Amino acid sequence: MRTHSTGLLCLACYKDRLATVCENADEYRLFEIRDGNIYPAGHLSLPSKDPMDRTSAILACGVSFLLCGALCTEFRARLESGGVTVTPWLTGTLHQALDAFQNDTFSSLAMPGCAGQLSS
Amino acid sequence: MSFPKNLPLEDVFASIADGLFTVDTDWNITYFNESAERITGIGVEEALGRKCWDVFRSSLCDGQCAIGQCIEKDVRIVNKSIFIIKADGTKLPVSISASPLTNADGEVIGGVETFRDLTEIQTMRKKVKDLYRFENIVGHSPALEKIFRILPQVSASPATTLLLGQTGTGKELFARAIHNLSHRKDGPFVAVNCGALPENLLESELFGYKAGAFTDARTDKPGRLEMAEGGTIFLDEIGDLPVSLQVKLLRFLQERTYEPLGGVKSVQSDVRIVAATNRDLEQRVADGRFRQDLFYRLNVVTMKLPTLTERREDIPVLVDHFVEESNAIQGKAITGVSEDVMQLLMRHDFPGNIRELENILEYAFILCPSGFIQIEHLPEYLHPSGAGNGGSSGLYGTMEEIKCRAAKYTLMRNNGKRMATCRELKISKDTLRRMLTRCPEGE
Repeated sequence: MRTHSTGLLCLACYKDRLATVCENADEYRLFEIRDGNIYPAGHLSLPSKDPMDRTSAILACGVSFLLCGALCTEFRARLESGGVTVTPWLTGTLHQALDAFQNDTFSSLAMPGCAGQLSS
Repeated sequence: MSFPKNLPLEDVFASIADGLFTVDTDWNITYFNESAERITGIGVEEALGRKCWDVFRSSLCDGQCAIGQCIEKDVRIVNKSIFIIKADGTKLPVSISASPLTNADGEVIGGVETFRDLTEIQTMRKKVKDLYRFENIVGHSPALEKIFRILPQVSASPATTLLLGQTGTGKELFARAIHNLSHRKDGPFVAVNCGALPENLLESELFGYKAGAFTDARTDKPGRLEMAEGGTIFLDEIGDLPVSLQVKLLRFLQERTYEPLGGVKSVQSDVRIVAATNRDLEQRVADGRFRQDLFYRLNVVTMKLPTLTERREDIPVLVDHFVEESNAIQGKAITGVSEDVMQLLMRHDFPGNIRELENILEYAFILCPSGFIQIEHLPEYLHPSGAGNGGSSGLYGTMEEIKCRAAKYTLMRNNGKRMATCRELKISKDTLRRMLTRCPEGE
């Protein structure tokens, strides 16, 4: 089980699954981690596709963890320099992603060719 | 021409330089050739049986799937430029073509997509761009030459520069040129659109914040001013800057210091400001929506960028530039625009300026498979019979008024040259003079 007891978790989504490309996600869903449990905490719906605007919005709402699909190096660096723990290269439904987060089993959701990138 | 029977298809697909994959109706990858492995960096064993979006990871995958569109509309997609993200986080530009796959009964059984690495073409494109004077600014009209003459001096000076110009006149391009021609060229160039972000976010974006500045500010975040240290910050749409931020920007311009949100110490900064707007700043000052002192601080060096109608003679060279650029990006071989298209473009008023011209050609590139761009490849509003086209929208009023409008319009199109106007209208100079003198007031 994850040791994090508090924080804000963000999932870059397309419909009911993780978006293929984080920058292109049509919605960022937020979940509050409280006492080891995960509770829905709304979503960020951003019209701008500019990665800089998206990074700023994610940082401004205090996200601690981001789970997403493919992510380019620059976008990742900007998020990590803002203090967000980023776990990219994931695929699967939201339920699977949340489950993997709670149980630290990200490797089962690795995108093809990306198993080595996941450090869970 | 039909494909010869009994050919080893797999050998054929394996030998081609383009990446190729096929999917079934559930979007599972059923074939992945060697070039696809090389371009994506994903082995065939890992790709087979996986969802195509997990393997291909393109900018189209979520909601704009090329194969999906082909199946839905029963069409083929050819040479569409997109990017994919490789496992090392690099963005790779590729050109894709897609088509549905059907069985002997005509039922859709999946789709096929081929893709070509455009990295080399993009590198060539950059080389092509580098040949142009002042970054990507293309043209040789007197209006532009006037700016080119002063641009090096403006760039060399440390003065705050204000660029005024209608939308689509290339304000950011000129701001970049100023940066690249200045001694700050090795420093960063950071652009901020002051009209695109809400007030609170804009403040933290510009000036940054300190940990604890607000509830969720756990760590310090540098603002874009800090990111531009030693370089240039481009403040686009400065006329839309909220009044509360105008005060803070004014202080920065006066003292070259600012305080991040939640900070107690002032930060010294060495950043050149280039601002731009399409608003009438003096009017906004008069209306009380823009601070007069900030206006004067920004208005040290002002450059008014010409509209495209003020530099009509640049249209052919701009068309050539955009065609060449689009050919390089999209891997197409469009020869150029046909003569009648060029005439039509020369007559158009371009309220959206160069951006509109670029969009028109981008649109035409989608519809034009090869050869010359013809009128039918242009957006409908430009077609001679289309609404809003200057050629036909003036057909109202008395014959005298119509003649007057025709004379004035043709004269304008020929840049005021009366002989050219007479030749086009097949009338004498005296007739043209009479037509113009008989124009009713207001025409």
